Amino acid sequence: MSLDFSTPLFEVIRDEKKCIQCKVCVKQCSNKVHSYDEEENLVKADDIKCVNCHRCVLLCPTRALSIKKYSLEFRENANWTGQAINEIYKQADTGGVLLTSMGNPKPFPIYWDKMLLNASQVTNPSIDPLREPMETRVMIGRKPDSLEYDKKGKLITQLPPQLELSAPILFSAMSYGSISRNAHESLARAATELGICYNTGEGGLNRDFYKYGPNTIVQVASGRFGVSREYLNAGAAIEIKIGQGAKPGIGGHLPGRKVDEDVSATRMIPIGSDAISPAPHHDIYSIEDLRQLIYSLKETSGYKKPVFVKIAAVHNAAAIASGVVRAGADAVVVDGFRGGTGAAPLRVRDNVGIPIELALAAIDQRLREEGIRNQASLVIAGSVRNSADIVKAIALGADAVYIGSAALLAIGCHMCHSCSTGKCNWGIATQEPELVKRLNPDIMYKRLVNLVTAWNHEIQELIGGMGINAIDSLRGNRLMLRGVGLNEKELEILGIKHAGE
Amino acid sequence: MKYVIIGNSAAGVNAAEAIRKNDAKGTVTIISDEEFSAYGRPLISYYLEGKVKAENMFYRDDNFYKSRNINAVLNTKAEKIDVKNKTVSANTGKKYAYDKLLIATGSVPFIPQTQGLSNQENVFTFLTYKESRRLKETINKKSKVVIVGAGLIGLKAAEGLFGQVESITVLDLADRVMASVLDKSAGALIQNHIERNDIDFKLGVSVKEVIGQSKVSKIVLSDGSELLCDILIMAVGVRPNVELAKGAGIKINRAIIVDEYLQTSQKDIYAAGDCVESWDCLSNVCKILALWPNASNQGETAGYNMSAGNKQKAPVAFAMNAISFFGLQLISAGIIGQADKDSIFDISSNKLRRLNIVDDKLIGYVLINDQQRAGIYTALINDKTKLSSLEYDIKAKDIGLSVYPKESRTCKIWGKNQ
Amino acid sequence: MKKVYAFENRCLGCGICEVYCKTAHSKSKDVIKANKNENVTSAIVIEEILQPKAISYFALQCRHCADAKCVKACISGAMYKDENGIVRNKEEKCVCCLSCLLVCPFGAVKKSKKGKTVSKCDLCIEVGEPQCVLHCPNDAIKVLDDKEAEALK
Repeated sequence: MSLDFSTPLFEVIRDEKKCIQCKVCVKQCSNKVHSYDEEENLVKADDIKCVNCHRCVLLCPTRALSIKKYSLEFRENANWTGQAINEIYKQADTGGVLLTSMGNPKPFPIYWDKMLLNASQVTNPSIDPLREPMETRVMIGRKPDSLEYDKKGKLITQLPPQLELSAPILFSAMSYGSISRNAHESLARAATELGICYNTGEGGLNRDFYKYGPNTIVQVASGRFGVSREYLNAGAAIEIKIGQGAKPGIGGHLPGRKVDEDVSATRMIPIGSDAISPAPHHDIYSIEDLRQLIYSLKETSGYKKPVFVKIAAVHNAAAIASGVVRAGADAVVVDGFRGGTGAAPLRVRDNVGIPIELALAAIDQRLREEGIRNQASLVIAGSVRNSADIVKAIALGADAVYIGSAALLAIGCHMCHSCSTGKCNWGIATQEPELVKRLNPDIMYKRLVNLVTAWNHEIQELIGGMGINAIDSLRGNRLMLRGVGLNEKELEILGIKHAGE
Repeated sequence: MKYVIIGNSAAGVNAAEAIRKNDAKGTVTIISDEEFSAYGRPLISYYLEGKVKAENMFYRDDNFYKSRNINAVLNTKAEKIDVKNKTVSANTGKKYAYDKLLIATGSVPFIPQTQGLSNQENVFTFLTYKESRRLKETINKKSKVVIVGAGLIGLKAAEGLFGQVESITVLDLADRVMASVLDKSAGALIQNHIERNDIDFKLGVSVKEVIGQSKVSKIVLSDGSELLCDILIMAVGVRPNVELAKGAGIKINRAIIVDEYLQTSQKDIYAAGDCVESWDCLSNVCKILALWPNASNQGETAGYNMSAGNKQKAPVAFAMNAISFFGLQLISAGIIGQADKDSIFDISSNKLRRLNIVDDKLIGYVLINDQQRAGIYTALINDKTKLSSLEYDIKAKDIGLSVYPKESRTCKIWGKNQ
Repeated sequence: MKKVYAFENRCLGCGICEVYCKTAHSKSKDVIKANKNENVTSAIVIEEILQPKAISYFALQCRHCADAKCVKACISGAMYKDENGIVRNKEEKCVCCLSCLLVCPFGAVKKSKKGKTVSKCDLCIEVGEPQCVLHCPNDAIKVLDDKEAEALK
């Protein structure tokens, strides 16, 4: 049968006056959109293959290319949108679950954009970070209930292990396998230069990257891929992944074709085999079970490294976080529903989980009420887009934030939502050598360093404006936030006043 | 130090340049029996054709001699070398003392004994700019030109004259063109191409008699036929110009014998270029390799050794040619051997790629209109590279640097020759 | 001296270097006019290397050899080494005999499309810096001096 209901999403526009038939687009498009017709000396495009990744647009030496939405109208219907209809066609065609990538794109409220920051005027004067010292360093880990000093003023209390970060930013867990070796190298080198950390994700740690250990967080997830005593001791902290914001309740699946020799060695699985991470950890059915895993990891690493537990922001996140802290985690990571992923079922991505802002406020509030907020750091993830989001997160109670999508954008991601195809034209979400090559870590790690350096400076300016000279003084300081256009309930959960109050 | 160089072409000029690099103070004298500054000798056919103007004939820029403080004594024939007193005497009566001497006298045209040939004013050779200029002045639209010799020189002369005269006939004793350089298939391809441009060939014949009183009007061929002729170009071949060396008691075989440092049998006398016998590293014999690149290389080496002591060995050499006829581009190198099916890899009416492979090594090739990266083949010959050590079969596809394994390729690109 | 070096592990074979090489050596110096209307020959050769896993590429230009064979082989004196060590070709003197092409062990001299001269890398001396390097999207070609190159070997 040749009847196919799929229609192009994008249209490639080529200005023939500018096209020089250099074929750069032909050579660069891994989706084979462009082709050269020798007979007519024309470069042509097959729109249906285009994912709008901009690779050709940016590399075209004469700027002859642009991409537009394919102008095909469905009969106007607020309920049955073009997308909804297309999804039906696709599933009727394949009989399968719709797979997609990146974070929830639906127009749910973005609370970051409904909160505004304070600034000092007259009293408690603002501070200029270019003139005065400013502290953005944070320590992630359990803090003791009280501190004891000897007569000479020396600290007697033994401090639990702490992870020092020069800025309240970490690179999110993205496994080697889901992203390329060069992408990993860029993240690792940038983290090292910046004095922050990147996270291995559930893909193990390649031998070649052990040298970045002091700036690495090693992850243990339900598939336990790549986990060994050496691995657990290779990083600066260990993270147990229970859930992920983009697909709470769902496991992971790295297709066998992405498991090449190097990935196989890193994950400790046979070449070409599918790497399936189950939805739950099969040895964790209770907080007590989680405590066992936390302590076995602490035991293995000699109680020298903080152990993080990452959960997805779901309805009863606050209660779960409380359990996680009581289970002995040194940090709780909460990942909101807009967090990205390499591959997730579309229905899950778009319909499961809650906004990170609300989860964060609720968790911080709950831990305070229970008097255990000091027992663990709180790290949030799930679409932190800029430095203001970070400042707002810290004011709501976070210690630090993970950035994933933003980091990928810095190294070339164009949010084309096609990670799961493995044909990433920017060399990020792919294992094909000629595509991986496109991501030059020498160039890209500097872009990550630039991004975090810029954000860190902006954070200093924002908190300096509030008259605060250390990030620690902002943490949980919700008076620095005011809501705009929020209802009473939302303000109550966020624990903030409305603007003007 | 006094350096004297006899000869002002590729070998002489490159020697002078090399000497000046090592020795800024010594006197360098070039003696030449030609009246011009050094010129690109192979350009004389381009000049004849009008493709190269007089101002672009010169091998080096205008102030070459002056800027390097080289004393160029032109239009002067070196007549005798006095080995004992280390002087060169010239036809002007002047004597030039030397500490180191280079003989770079090149070749002279070979003119076979032919009845009626001597003292005819419209007979030309085709080896010097002077002859090319004289020829250009003499010809007109009605000239009937006969060229004796279908070698490189004869054919280039034909090309140079094309369109400027009424008819051109090329004779050769051999049964094909460029017999000494090309095999039959390549020769035939070139001959066909040239014939298409209205040039007649008479092969397998020689000139029996030249007829005319002080001016040739007709020639009689060995097969008894006759040809009307008012311009006769003798391009049978060249002989190394060794008279001067012979007079100095220097050892000579077919040409001047030199050691690996290009020194002759006489101390402090060096020789380079077309007048010496070079070691052909492919056939492993000494032979005359009258080639421009070889002459420049030898000139440079000789100059270096004259000024810095015998330190540099003459570069290995083998036959090679790059030449075009009426837009047909021919490149060949090494031992070409006989063409057979096993050695021709691509052939069409105006294209040919033939590689001569013996014992896992490339020893020669002919490329016609297919030459973008011929130098890599030349390097394979030069380095005696084992073809089985390469990344792909060189017969199967166009050559590229990717033929080398990664390690040696990287070595080459990064500027180290393994 | 400074010259252009290629990094195989970075080269994408995209051909942008060729586009800008042609532009730099065109009359108009305009990327569209140069590539569309002017028949310029790129002095860069992009070679494909077939590897077991993937196709790899590298871009190759004149190596500006210390002892340049092409200069020695040139019959017209068109090919020369300038005072900076750059091997250059005087187009007005070149007769396109291809003697240089015959001897270049890198295959880095090309017959120009117009057939009247040869095309080779001159490090964009007339434009300023090598345009291929400036426009390479992946830092796969770099201008390095001898010391820098030695360090990266």
